[in-house]
Amino acid sequence: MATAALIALIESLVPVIQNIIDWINKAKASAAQSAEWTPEQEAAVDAAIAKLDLNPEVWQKSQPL
Amino acid sequence: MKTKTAALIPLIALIAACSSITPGNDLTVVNAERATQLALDTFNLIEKTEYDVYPALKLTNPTVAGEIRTFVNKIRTESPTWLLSARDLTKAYKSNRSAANKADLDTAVAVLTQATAEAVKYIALMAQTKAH
Repeated sequence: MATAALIALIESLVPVIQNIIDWINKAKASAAQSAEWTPEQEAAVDAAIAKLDLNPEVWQKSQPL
Repeated sequence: MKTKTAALIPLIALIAACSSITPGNDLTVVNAERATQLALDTFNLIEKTEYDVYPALKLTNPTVAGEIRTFVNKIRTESPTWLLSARDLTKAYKSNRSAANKADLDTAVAVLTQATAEAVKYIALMAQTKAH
């Protein structure tokens, strides 16, 4: 494989890997949760769920990780 | 593929229930909240990953791309209901910690855990396929 194509392939993997690393950190934080959510935490999760959009473009482009 | 998902379910359940809780808190509630947060983050990850990977995956492996798209569409359309159900049942259990409410909440958490395990399996598949 030409160097340029290899670099392009690796570059295309960066956002995917970064998203997975972010998810791993969030999964660790979830696993470490030791107390029931505060009202503020509950409100934040409820707001995030309410924002979920069935439109694929909207969900895939706009939902915060 | 089903075997891999089956193997992931206990792992996801373990992630959602692996640490101890602060005295005075209810383990059922904490585990439900862990599972809800993990599911929300995982569903977001699979939506974003599929969005990034699908164009290349469709060219290199259209069969896998189609299978993943079917699952991602299911997550997109059904997961808001699953998550809302888990939240509603968590609130119901917190206001009345009856055995019936606990059973309903456990069922909702099991649905989230199953879907989360399946999503993780597809995320791993996308990462592997993209890398080849």
